[in-house]
Amino acid sequence: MNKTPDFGAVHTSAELLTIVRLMEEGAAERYRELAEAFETSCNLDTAAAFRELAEGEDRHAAEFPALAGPAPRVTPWGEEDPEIADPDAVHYLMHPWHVFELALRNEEKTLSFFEALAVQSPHAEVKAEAVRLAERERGHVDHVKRRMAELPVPPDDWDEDDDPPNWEAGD
Amino acid sequence: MSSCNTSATYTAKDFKSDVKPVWCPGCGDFAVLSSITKAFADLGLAPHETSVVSGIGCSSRIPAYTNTYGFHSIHGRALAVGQGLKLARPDLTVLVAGGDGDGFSIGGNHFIHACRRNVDLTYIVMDNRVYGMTKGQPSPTTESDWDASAMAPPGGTGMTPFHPLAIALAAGANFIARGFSGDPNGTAEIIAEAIRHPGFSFVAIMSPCITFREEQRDWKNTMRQTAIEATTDSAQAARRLMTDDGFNCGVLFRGSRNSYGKEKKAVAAVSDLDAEFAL
Repeated sequence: MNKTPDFGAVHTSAELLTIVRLMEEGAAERYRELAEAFETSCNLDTAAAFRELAEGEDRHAAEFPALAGPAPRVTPWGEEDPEIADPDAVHYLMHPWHVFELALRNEEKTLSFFEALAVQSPHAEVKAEAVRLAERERGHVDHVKRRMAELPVPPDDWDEDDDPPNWEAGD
Repeated sequence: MSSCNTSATYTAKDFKSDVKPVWCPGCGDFAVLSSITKAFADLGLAPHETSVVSGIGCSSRIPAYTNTYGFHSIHGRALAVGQGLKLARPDLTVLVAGGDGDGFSIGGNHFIHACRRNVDLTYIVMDNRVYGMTKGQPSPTTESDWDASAMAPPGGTGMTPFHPLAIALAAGANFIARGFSGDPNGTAEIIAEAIRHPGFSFVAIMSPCITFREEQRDWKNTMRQTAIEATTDSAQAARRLMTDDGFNCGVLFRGSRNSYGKEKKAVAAVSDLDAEFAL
């Protein structure tokens, strides 16, 4: 369902910053939703990791001015917002390390998007803003890598369940 | 439902309740819930002008998660309740939601006759081709040879999968579309258009069950935006739907039938009807 990014869709720095705030808010909402889902399924360590990410995205969003008017309808990255985690990219037995691995993928996708925008936007103002945003995003990538390094790497059989919800025919 | 300020502009968040979904982590229904609430907000609706009615199943828990009027009704009967509500309260936006088992098996007959009746409501089916709540039995839309669960017969059911979109068209639905939970913004646009369209609007949303049909994670690579414009010609729509592989998303048919009930007027006063029941 990917749509081709439209790097010319954003015309001004202000428009870009509004969109970035929405990206960060969307990411926070998705991580919060995943935290709640893991709390409900009693994987509390993983839920806490998602909650930590949600709070981080809230802080990132707060770095940008609040919306003064209606949000722009444009989505220069195509249909899939690079910052927002794919809702089905999770497993009920996943560990906190996997959570940060997922976050790292999203931060790296966002970084790639800003780097591409900095090169391909036809608007000088947007290009300059995208360069600043890419630099900021590099900081997020480094932070997530540090957090991953602090966490134990899950064992190879992390997704084995002695009482699986769906057993194969013949088991 | 907690909000009824008629002058306010509502956001998608305002349409979500404080009840946290019990769906499995990664379930496609989370995204469908977001698409529904986004569609309500984009249409400028208010929670007190909106209702969500469901049957039974994982996806049918959705009224609890929305901050609108709601009715978590009985298995397969959501459309009966939803149509009754719309006829009694035509001012409400009525959205009926549920799963493929609820809608096409237990409620299969209601589905066909709701299409025929063409009451002005929107029916969303979150289709994951399995009964998830009861741990993985084949549903009407399950592939005939699917047997990757102890709950399925060896070799699969051997039954031709139900084709909900083609059946909806043949039965008279006035708007037919397919969405994908992996494209929540696109799905929200389809839902908004379905609500705006008069008559019975049917939206099948492919929503993976990552617990019992883990292979459906691959849908993100197979679902595609349809390359064709929606048609208003039911014969053309029939040809398209009968050659459809189940992965085309978008609005596929826009009909022009009048909604049921628009032309109907009361032929007797309520007091006259009461009199007929007097003992």
